[in-house]
Amino acid sequence: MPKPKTAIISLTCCEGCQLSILDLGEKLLDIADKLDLRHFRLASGTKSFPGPYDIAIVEGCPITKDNFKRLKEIRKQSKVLIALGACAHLGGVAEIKNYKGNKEEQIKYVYKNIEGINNPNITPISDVVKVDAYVPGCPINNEEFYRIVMEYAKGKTPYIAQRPVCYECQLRENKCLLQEGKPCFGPVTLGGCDAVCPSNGFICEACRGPLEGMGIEKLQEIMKGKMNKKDLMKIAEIYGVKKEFEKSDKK
Amino acid sequence: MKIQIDHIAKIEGHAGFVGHIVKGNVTKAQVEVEEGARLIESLLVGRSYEDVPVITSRICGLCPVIHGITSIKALEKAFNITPTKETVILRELMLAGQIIQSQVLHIFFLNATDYFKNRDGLDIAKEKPEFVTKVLQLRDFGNNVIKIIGGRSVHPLTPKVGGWHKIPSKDIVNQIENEGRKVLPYSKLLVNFILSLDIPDFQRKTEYIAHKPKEKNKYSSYYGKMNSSKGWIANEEKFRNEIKEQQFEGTVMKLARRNGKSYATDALARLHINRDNLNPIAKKVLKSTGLKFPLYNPFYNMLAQTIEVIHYVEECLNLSSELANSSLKNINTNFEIKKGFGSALLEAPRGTLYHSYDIDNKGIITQADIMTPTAQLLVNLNDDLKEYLPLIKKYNKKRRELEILKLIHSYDPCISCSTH
Repeated sequence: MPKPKTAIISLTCCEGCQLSILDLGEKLLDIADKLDLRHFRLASGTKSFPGPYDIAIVEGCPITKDNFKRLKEIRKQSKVLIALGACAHLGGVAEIKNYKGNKEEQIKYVYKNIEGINNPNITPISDVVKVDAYVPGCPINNEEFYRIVMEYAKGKTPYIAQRPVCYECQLRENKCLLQEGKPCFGPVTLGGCDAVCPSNGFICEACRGPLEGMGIEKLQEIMKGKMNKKDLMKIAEIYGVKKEFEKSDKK
Repeated sequence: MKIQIDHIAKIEGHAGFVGHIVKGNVTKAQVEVEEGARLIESLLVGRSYEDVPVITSRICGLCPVIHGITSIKALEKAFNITPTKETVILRELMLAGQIIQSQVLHIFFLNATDYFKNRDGLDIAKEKPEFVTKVLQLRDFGNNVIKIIGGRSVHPLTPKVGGWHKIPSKDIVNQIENEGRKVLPYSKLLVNFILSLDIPDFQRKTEYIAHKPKEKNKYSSYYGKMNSSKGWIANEEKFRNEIKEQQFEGTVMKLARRNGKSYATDALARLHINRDNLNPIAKKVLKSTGLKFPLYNPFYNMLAQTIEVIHYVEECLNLSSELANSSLKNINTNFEIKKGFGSALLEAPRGTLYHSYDIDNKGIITQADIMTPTAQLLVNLNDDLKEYLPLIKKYNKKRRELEILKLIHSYDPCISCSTH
């Protein structure tokens, strides 16, 4: 079987997810062995391969016109498209702009001359193109990335178990931050991150998106009303998860 | 003649290059940023001070540590917090780890590979597996230092205003000591590797500006002032007032100048300002290269970075030994939220980073201002490109492009940072 042609593409973001892939070290060589890696800009610059691709891995969210164009082109050229990290999956930190409102005022806060600078609403890439799979997180858990792409390499369709962050948090025998009265989103957030935040004394802020069907009202119930919805939603803005939680709450 | 490179590979973020030569004169030569504007400064306004390091570290996946810690330093100033000695040492360790991982990635994968025909880092890994394994272990050391203190290497979790969400365990002292001793010899390998390359002979006089520690015998530290090769000295306030940013229609990058002129703010600038205070091995190795200062050759930034890698591995060993007698308990500082302003300067892998914030009496951000190293170094890079272009116009298209890329890569511009 020929190796699946794979491209890693960046839209607007911090590129921390791509760097997490690079940080896989020896496992990256493993991936390079099973997949025909193309367009890995941080690792190999001199080579550029045109599509079509079997697998396209897209990080970042579309902001410039070129970002939107590129995203649509990549979709046309690829059999499978994977959204990599919170920006592609949910919108990421840039989405705070949508919740603040008045985009015009915000761009003027940063730039004196705003003519010609693209300032769209921030959206997950699934609002623009069809997405086949997600590697969630800000940044991604690179072990999970490894598992997902290696399963694709074997022709399987991987999935992420619908378990809350609390599942792994308890396995790691952490002190529960919710019980300390902190607004930890662990119970309503999709796990798979090894509970890395609560394990380091940091509340879960839902960067991996909601666990299926979970909303803020559920979290309030678990917190026994100790925190109001508005304050919790403010936290959910950070990775662009507020709109997903709002959808779940409506159901 | 028009020279255009659309998507520059092997840099962080998206940028291209455009150059025009009319009747032998360079009328245009500049890096053009193609990154989207996320408006990070605006996103911070109206949010709690606690969210600031979380959001600012997302400016850049390559240098999240420096953004997080510079914002914390500025916020602590606004709240009148003096962090404990241990906290400062742990932060310096994380910054050292960051510089090691970022410089090694840049030296080997992003820049030195320009000097090998049609080969990238992964190809060279196959040709020289032993050497590359050691290089990767060196980079892993930097990442590991960040991880064992910060919880993970990309977007670390534990640092916060006043100290730590989770105080690192005492085990880190031995771990850094053991791993650092192991990789210290590897750090010297990169110097010979770079010296074996055919580095272009090109010079352009410029001003070098870098953060100089308050402590007289240190190369890098948490506290200090900006110093320039022209004798200019500045604290945070003076720095922000006298470094002017300019932005033009249709562009998302801001360009910073002092007195209307470009200046260098990278590893090469730090060596120019403070090489006498390098740690002993780094100092000895630098001397053995026979390089004379001022150097004025931007292609040598890559070599300056290799010297820094040695220095910072030594520095990790120094800093961890300073923690040997501390229990690392009760190192967080209590504070009260109050209205105020704070600004901070620290050295990022690519140069000086500035953050400032105004906070109201509830701890909500009312003003945010971030100036990144790339906003400063791009101006110097563009001025170099203008002088370099006439020297390489004799080459064919492919070679010319490669020479341009070599020069751009030598600066290691971080486009996500420059735009933020």
